[in-house]
Amino acid sequence: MGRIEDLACCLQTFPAWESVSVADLFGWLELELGGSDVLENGILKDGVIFQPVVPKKVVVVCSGTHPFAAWQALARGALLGVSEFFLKLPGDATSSAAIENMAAELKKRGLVKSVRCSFDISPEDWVGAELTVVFGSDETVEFFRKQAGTRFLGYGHRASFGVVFEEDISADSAAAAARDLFCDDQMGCLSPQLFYLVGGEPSSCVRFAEMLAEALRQICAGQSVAAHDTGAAARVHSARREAVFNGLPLICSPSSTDWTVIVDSDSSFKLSCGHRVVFLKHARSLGEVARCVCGYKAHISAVGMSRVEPFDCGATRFCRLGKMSLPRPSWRQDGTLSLADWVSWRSIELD
Amino acid sequence: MSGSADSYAGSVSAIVGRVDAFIRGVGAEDFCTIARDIFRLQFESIESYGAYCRASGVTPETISSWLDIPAIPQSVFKSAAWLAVFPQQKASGWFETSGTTDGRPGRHFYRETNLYPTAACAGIRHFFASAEKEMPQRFLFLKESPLETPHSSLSQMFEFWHEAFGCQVKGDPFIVENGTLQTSKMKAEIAGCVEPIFLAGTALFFARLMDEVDGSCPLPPHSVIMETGGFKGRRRTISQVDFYRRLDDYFSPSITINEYGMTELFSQAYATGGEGGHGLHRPPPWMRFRVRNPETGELQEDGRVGLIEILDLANAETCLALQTEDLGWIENGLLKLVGRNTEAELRGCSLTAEGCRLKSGG
Repeated sequence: MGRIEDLACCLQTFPAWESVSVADLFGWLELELGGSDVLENGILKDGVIFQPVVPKKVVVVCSGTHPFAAWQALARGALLGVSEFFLKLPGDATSSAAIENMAAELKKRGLVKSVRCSFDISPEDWVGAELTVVFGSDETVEFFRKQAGTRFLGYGHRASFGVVFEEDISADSAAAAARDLFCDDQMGCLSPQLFYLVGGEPSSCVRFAEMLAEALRQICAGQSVAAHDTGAAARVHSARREAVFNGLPLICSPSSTDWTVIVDSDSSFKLSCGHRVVFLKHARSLGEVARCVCGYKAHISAVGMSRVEPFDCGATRFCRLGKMSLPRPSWRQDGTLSLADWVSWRSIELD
Repeated sequence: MSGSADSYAGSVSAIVGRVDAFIRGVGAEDFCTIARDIFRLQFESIESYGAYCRASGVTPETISSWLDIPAIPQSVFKSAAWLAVFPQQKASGWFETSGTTDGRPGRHFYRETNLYPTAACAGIRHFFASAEKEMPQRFLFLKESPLETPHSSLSQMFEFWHEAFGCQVKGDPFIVENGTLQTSKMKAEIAGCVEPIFLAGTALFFARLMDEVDGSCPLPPHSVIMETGGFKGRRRTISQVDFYRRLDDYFSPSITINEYGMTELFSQAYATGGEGGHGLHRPPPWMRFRVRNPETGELQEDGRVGLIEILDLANAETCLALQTEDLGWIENGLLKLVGRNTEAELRGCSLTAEGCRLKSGG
């Protein structure tokens, strides 16, 4: 089995990538680097061979609460043939274990030579590194940008939201929205902070709230949902009390902080505290949604929609509801190239 | 002014007078009676609070004790809701929180007759009396003066202390100007002093001072350090144990105390520091803690961690009961702080309101 085939098999064992095929990976290389065999042969154009130069060692810093960012970095590096990784793990134990699991799997299959995972990072960890990739808050990114001393890719603060068109309000769209809320406990940059109900009357929010609440109830009934820790529960409790203070209609899980749906008549963009606390707001059109989020335009990542209709709101990814936290490996995070940014190029002029 | 407005103003001033007497330790009223009367006043005269209580199923008729009085979430102070028994045009000023959510600081409005000076001064006096310690009368504050930061409740409290207890000492006790520590001024003040010093300030300024000025700066015998604020919202963090050890090594104070207070409240609780950081916070008699289980919304028994709520009678004109963003547990009316509910917030590359505000410059 070839390296790409082996990588596809490996990725398929991780959530979100079950359906990744060999063809997808070759297609990804072709899309970003100009050819599926470019790593071996380069690209010949006008008497010049352009050869991608892959960094031998990459330092990856992950400071989030879920493993997806690190998985992505490992997948990108493994596809390109990076031989050595240093991975600074996040504080979250579950997430770190999931990252170490993928690192071990790649190493076992010989897809990378060396991966060192650690909760700490010191200047020695950069020795031999040619690229640093950081996922975290804006402050974290800036902090490591100054430390790195290598080429640098930073992915900072982002937020996402969902759109449900009035004519698409249904149990299915509510179920898809509920799945998005359950991914990563709604704490990722791709998690929906709120859903805009677009078109129709503002009362559509109440209608969708009831459907969404039912969908959330069903998920909780069908699977065991880990209780929030005290800090997370406190944030949910505070968000609920604030909603009550502001007189906003609210539906929530009884005697637990499992989920909370708040109908907010103020259509301006609002961040949730996460942990499956979501706001439903009404907008007459996508144009109004764009106006509502314009203050956050530089920070919008994904828009999950009941029907994919890209519009100008700053988002770099539009997808179906239910898929928000599950981007394909070729996802262009923050609108940047996912493989091409990792390599530099060598030109060999034949004439 | 109409008759009803007269009677309303009369009831407000009567309650403020009763709280003032309670704080001063005169009069025979108990905490619960005053709390219930303040609750009724606020329920009836703060529209948003009254609606909130009704939505929570609580009215002055349904409460059986101070434990039933609904607490306002701290974040509400950052909204446009008016949270005082007096109209906005009667406000003489406001204190502003340093933290931000949705790009807007919290504001606690007050008027001339507020109980802050009384509560702030009686509170620190009460703590020293409870701890059976002498309170130094010579102050140095690692903080800007209230002239420079008129909306800082902490600067104002320091000014109250200086006026009430330290006014016989000449000179300006504030040693931060335009965000810069006046270290030479502070060293000169300490070097020339034989009487005990009360050195108070934010944890961040203490940390900066110890970073900027090498060596140590021993205070005169029986001096006291009071730190407050922690390192919330800052990149820099240091464990409480290490911080207290550093304070001890650097200043050699007789005792180190921690103040637990917030812009939204006029009263404060204090804890004595030790080897393992600070201990239990003791509220003054006009302030009480309760802790709520955030999962169920029920009040917690002693010893169980939950979301801290505070009732402060000195907030008679604004917000009697506050739901904080802090976690802790109670032991015999004293509070053990265990952290902020925002501290555990690791959102990966997800956007925080703070981050967005910084980047957008809003």
